[in-house]
Amino acid sequence: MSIISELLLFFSSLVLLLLIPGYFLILAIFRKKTSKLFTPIEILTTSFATSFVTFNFLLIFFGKIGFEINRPLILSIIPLFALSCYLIFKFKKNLPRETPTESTALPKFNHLQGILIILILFLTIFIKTAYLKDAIFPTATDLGHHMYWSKLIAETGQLPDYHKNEIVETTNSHYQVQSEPIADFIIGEHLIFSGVNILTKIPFNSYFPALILFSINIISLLAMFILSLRIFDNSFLKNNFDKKIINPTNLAIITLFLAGPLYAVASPQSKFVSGGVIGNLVGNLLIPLCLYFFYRALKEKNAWMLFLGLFLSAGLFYTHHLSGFIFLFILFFILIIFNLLFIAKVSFYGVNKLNQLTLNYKKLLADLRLIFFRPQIIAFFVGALLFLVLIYAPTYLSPSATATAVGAPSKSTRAGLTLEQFKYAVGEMRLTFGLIGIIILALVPLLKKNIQSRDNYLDIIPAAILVGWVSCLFIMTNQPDWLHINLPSDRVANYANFPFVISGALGLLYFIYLIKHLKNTFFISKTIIYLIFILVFSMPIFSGYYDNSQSLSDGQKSQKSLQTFHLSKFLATHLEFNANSNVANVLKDHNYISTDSWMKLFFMQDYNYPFSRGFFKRYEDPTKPREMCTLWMISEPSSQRAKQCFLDTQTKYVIVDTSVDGPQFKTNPDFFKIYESDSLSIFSKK
Amino acid sequence: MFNQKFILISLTAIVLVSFSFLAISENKQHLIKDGWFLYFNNIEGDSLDFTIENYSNTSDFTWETSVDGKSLNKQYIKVLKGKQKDVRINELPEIKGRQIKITVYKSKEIKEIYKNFDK
Repeated sequence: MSIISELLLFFSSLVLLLLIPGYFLILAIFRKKTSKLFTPIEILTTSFATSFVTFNFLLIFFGKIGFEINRPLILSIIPLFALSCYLIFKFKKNLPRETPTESTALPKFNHLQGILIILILFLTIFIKTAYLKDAIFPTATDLGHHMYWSKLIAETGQLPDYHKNEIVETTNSHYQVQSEPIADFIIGEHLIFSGVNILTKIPFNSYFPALILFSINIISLLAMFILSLRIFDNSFLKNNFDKKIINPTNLAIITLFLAGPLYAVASPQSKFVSGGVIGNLVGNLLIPLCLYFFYRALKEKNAWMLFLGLFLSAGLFYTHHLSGFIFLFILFFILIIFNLLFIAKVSFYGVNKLNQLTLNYKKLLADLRLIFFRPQIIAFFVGALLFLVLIYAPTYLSPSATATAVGAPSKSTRAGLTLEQFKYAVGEMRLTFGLIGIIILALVPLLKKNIQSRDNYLDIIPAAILVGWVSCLFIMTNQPDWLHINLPSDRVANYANFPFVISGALGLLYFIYLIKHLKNTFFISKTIIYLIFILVFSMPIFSGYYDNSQSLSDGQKSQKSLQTFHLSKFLATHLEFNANSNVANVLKDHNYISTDSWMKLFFMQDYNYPFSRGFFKRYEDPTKPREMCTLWMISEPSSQRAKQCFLDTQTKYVIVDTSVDGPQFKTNPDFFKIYESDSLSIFSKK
Repeated sequence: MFNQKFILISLTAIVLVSFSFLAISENKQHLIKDGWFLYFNNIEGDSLDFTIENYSNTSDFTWETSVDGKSLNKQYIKVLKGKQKDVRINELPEIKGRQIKITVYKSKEIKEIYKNFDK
């Protein structure tokens, strides 16, 4: 198949799987009101995310009730789903008017703003493309691990059983290979890749997994944009600032600028795309959109918005446990901050404080009842429960998996980052302006004095969302022991970028607002102040771009990976894999072999086939004792304990870097050397 | 007011160009540009037939068989870039209890594969 035909198929499959189901679902839900409730950018962004989640749930459902996951199934269920949604859109009467409701006028952009958005998007995608050009070749370890499961689904047509073979020590220094469950992988991370492969037949070790992740990354930036657009469309901003400068559209554009071209390459952006960090990327797409729908549900008293927020949250929990876990904490913090601000606000201005507080909470509860106790929400919870119990429960819902995330930090990498490390994780500029934005957000609702505002809890919600989101991730990253969590701190820090970006947009725009309103003084002119501002502003921008340029690689990693692919293909074609026979095990080294995690895709025998000699430090980790066979069998193949390991685990082939680990096999008469490339060798045990 | 559909149209165009460029670029990287490979055709059993696969610009190779370190046979072979050649080893002395090694030379590069046979 030529690359052009491949690309046509690939783009068609993206539209079919990641746009159509969600678009028609939104159309069926909001019907004629869709174009009145959502701007075209919002329709694109929400359609993409809901398509992702819908496709996952459809495939899990049909896979679990016994259908084979193949091309006919996908080509049937997606059009049928879209058609059903279209029929609802066409023939069901329009939505009843929601009561009561705030004005839901669509945000509009002037020509300059429209062109700015296009330029920012162009610049963002350009920088990311420049980086990915040399990083798109499938070399990332994580991506290799994930693609094994996606390929397994595509090849077997079944939902995978997340197990892997492990070497375990039995009695008297004997070993055996036994199958163990894996809690780290979640089905939602793998189905979309299986779907695209099933439809297009493009191999997994190609560009398509990274391009799917790239599209998720681009849409997650738009998710930030639309969240910013809606969250700042609030009366507290309108009444307190110069609307010409500080308005939702400007804030959304600055958000896009801070989230897009600045630090476009650093984690969790393009580096996560090429690195195959699927869960984080999906988390960064779904978390802002869940907050977007929840906020709009409350603001517009729209239960269907809540339904979509809950639907995406469910999708998040079926895709990535870390993101789901963090999302729960974010919601918890938002709730706390909201209550603190709510009480503070009422106490600040109320004459009869207790009475007023009670009245305000009653109003809030009445509004919540209005959107929660609706048929669609009740149906959602019943459906979700039935799906969880009867159809499919994520693998991480096991006591052992939960125990690994909760408790005192078990490693130094989980004990929290320093402020310096946190600054680099978020980005200096975003952190600085983010903090300014947070202060403004927290103070402004309290300082507003009119009666109408005092009774409107909605004024506090944007502040509660952003302050809660930021403070949650700050504490989870810097002081995880306060929350009794045991998660890798640097991974959690990657989630902190987004809330700092949104609040940073407010901070930056407020700074511009202050500069614009400065007057000439007797000792310094306005022009000088402008110049100082431009100088100060340009420094962090350059630091962002400097970060981008530092991340650009000079490429050519692919040639080493091709050697690994060549070797794997050679060995896989020479080994006879037969369901009824015991296949000899293979062992490879992870320390010196490039792209070794992709080897398993050539054998497709087990997640742990070939076995791997992991990083040396892992064998010395006192907090997590592990089997030593994989280390001994490569590092000291002539030793008695290694011989026992070879015998017990039936390991026959060893793949090593010739110059590093070749000598110990060359001097051992028990091994043949059956293959040699420029850097790799395969040794076979007699 | 700016028609937001222009933003979507522009975004679609940018994404199409970027994705196509990346796909074509990645596709080109699947070509092995240098190096060569040496391997037995049959990884089990007694057969010593082997293959040289060449991706380098030099096509001149020399292969040599040796038994327990003693050279038996040395021959020149030409393998063009992007091609592979199978070499059949028919005549060998008693192999039981010995190591039979195939050494291939290309300029200053040497690769070797071998089998150790039981008595």
